[in-house]
Amino acid sequence: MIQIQNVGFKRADKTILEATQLSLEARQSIALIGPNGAGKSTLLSLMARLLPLQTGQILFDHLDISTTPSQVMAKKVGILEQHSHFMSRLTVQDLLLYARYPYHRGRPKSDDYDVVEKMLAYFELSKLRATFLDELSGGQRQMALVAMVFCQGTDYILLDEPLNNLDMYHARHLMTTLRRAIVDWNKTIVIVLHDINYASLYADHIVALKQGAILFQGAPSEVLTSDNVQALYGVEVDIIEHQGKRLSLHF
Amino acid sequence: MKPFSYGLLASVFLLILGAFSLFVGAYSISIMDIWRQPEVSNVMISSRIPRTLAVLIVGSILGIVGCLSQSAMNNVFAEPTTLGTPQGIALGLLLCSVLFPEIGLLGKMLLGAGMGLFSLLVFFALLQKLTLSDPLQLPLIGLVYSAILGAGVTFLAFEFDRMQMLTVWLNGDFATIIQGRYELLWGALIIGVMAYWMANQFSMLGMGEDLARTLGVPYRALVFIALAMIALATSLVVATVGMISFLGLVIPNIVRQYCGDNLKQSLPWCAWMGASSLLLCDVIGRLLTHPLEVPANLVFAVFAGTVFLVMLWRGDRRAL
Ligand SMILES: Nc1ncnc2c1ncn2[C@@H]1O[C@H](COP(=O)(O)OP(=O)(O)OP(=O)(O)O)[C@@H](O)[C@H]1O
Ligand SMILES: [Mg+2]
Repeated sequence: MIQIQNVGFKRADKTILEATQLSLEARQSIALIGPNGAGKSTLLSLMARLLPLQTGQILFDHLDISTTPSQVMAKKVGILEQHSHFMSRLTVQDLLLYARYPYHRGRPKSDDYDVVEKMLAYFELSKLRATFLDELSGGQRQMALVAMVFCQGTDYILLDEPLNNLDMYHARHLMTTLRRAIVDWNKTIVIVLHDINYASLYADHIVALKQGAILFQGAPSEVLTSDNVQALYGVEVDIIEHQGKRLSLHF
Repeated sequence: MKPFSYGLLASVFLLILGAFSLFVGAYSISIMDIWRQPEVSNVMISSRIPRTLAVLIVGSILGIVGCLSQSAMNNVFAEPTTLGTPQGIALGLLLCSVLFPEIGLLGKMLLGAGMGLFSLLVFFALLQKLTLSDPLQLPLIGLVYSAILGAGVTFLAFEFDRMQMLTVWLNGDFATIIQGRYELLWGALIIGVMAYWMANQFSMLGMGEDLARTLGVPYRALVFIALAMIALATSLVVATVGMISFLGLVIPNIVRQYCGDNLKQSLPWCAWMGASSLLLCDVIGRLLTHPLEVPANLVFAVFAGTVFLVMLWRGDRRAL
């Protein structure tokens, strides 16, 4: 369970995130939606300890992120940032192996190699294993980075716009893989999405942020109404039902 | 070919080059003379062998140091010369020779390393403040930084009449290496081995602070260790033979093309390529104006400058 209590964030007197309360069940996928600049990435960065907490507390399974040692948190929460622009020229295989750092601390053992093999297969990256990251296409790179977060073997996974750069096949493949991972490995995934149809189809719970505050949250079938979506994005949409799921038409 | 056979090929090449280097110099030697004439074997033991070993150690350690700087600073243009480290070290050495002239080579070298580390830490802190939009900005900042340090050092050197020493420190030359004057360099080799031993940890630095921190990597502590190793190894080189500029920039960048940023793979190749290219340059320097010599630093600068320009020409800044 993720508990976010009274967490706010300011940058130079500008409130980016208002004091937020949020409690999220484990073993499900949670979609974070909202317009550009709403504070989604800020919230994720706070959860991943990339930004210092200014107020409040965040707990993962009762582990307080500000008091738990960083080596322990590294096995609990993994994040894929929106812009992961590190310059290292690494092969896909090495990248995944480095993500095992919390377990091998620089001296990989055979189970680390096993996990890497498993993830390469799971994300259909086996053919690209020896390719350098800077020689991959944008989408292939994105898949490799997602696989990397999974290699970290954390219960909680935070993904900031992982569908960036992915084509129709790979976007769907990634979303179904994520769903599978929740069932197979009891993962809890918080994912920032811009396409509310993906959120509707693949998320168990939706949290909508606007101007640093939660506008609404709940199951997709409840909260995805045309009024809500219009209040969130300021765009008029038609919501239709298709095979029991809500879809938005907004063109 | 398997990596093993590449390694074998590389070692054989280096051995041949090393052997060749033993027979090149002002005084010509043939293999037969070594056993027949005692003064010839003396030249070998007191001058040729130390010189060749010194070149090999300096070349390999500067290759390693360059690679390490690039990971620690997260920038492909980082190396002691572009970070102003030799100037920092020279400042330490100079202060030492003025304030504690009796201290001995080891103490001198440690003080130099201390100042070098200090200058690196300041540079690192500076980089944290600035967000570079292009990696090429690092050497520009480094240019200004080393000019400031260099001006201070030159001023002091003038005041205390140590210009001669300063020139020696900043321009590597192996002509003066004889037995008893290079042994400290073995210390640098130990640092190189330690760097290899920690290669996987140092590789994590190249992924940037954010990612490293979420993986529980003690980022700042590792950067500090890397910078300390860089300062210590460079100081050993500066105090014994003098700096060889840009070796640490050019060699690791060539190696990166093939081995990437996995230091466990690239460090040995950086060491090999640094050692063999520097030895080649030193041998060429000895042959060019025989029996006089062109300093290795000068020959290497021509080589490095050319490689660097070719790299910029290809415009492949990401891969560079
Ligand atoms: N480094 C920064 N310095 C100053 N302001 C920032 C910084 N990063 C983000 N902000 C501001 O914080 C607010 C929230 O940003 P955030 O990145 O969390 O938005 P987001 O919801 O992720 O948007 P997007 O969908 O565009 O990724 C924005 O108004 C942005 O201008
Ligand atoms: Mg964002």
